[in-house]
Amino acid sequence: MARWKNASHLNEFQLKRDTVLRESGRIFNREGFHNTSLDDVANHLDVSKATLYNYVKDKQEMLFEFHKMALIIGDEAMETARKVEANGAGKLRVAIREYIAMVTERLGGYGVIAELGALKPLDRQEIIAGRERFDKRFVALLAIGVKDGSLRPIDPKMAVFAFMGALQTIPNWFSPNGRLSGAEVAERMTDLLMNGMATTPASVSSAQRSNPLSTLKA
Amino acid sequence: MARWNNSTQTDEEVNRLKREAVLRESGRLFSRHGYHNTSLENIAAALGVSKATLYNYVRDKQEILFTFHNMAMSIGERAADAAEQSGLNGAGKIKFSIATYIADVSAELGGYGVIAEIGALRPADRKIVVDRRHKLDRRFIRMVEEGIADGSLRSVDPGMAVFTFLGALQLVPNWFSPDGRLTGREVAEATADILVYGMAVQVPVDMSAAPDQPSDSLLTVHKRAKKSLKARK
Repeated sequence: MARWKNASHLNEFQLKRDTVLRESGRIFNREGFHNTSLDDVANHLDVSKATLYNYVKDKQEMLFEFHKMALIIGDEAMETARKVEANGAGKLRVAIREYIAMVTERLGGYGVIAELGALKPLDRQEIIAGRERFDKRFVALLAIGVKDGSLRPIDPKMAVFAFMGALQTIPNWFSPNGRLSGAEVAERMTDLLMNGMATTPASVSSAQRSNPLSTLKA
Repeated sequence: MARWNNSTQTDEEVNRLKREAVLRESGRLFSRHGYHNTSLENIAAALGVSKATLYNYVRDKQEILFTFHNMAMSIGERAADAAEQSGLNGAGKIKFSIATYIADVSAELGGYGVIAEIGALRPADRKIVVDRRHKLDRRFIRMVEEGIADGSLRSVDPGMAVFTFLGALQLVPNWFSPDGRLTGREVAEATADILVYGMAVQVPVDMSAAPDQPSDSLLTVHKRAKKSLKARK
């Protein structure tokens, strides 16, 4: 966090590279990663392709950078949650909210982190391993919440897959110029994931009454 | 589904089954090695046929990807159709849609972790898929609005609610494996349960019981949300 906020520690090269990445992310998002060439990116940025090559090697390197940023954000969100004095549900709420707020703020229009398959094989392995570590930390956090009674007895892995899907697809639709700010999206989505949509359990009409939890007992 | 099990083995049917086998193998390879790291040669080799034989069933990789996207959209549209005709209240329709979508996607597209790869589609195909998605988004937004109106759903932001659960649904094919610990039906029920009831234990705040006059900021946000929804229609 401090490293990013304290811009005086960043040299000009890093700042420019950051700008290049942010702007490219927007273009990829609008036009599609595979329909955008480095020439297009250079045109949009109004620089020569040679200038662009000072900052990035190729499109796949940019994509790798976006994915790494998302993972760093995940680590930071998890760190913040770990330090909070709260029960499992409280920590989970903080982790989800921080992650969304930072993804929308820093990765704004980078709807490309869904493009896992476009990464170079080694980069892809690294990102998948990073995501799996992140998922495991979330599963552990959920298990704490279920144990201390602040979370319903849900299947921690299922829950993590469900909300990570919601979180990972945010850059596909979030726009910094949209009707909601990143902070508003963070508040609302966290509320939806923690408290659900239904008014009360009994308010959901059902064709056949089923108890989903009973099917999950090991 | 019954059509597949109850096959009459006409030439047309055999062709379709072979194309289906090509798609299944492609999905498995894309999922394992990544769409961009898998070639038609890899697919042909895995099936033990020549690349020329493969061309009888599919034109290229992008066509395969487009087919997967269309399958996912059809499943979503079928789930929305069934929910709309179910006679359930708004909350019931949403829960039913989520469970139906996941059960069908895991049965038909399980392990095909490629439908996130929307950027790899041809521009014209991409537009078709994006338009279908937007139409489906709007149908789900109407269901959430119906649930808020009939009191079965909290006064959540309909657009946000839909993006949240569709995001969760979109990535199911990326991680679901037919050989995994849970069946598609179990995953469907558990996910619908989590998204509709939330994860926290406490009784959700009943927004309808809030004071008549919301705070300024909240009021502004709601007005903006309404305006934007009208604009979308």
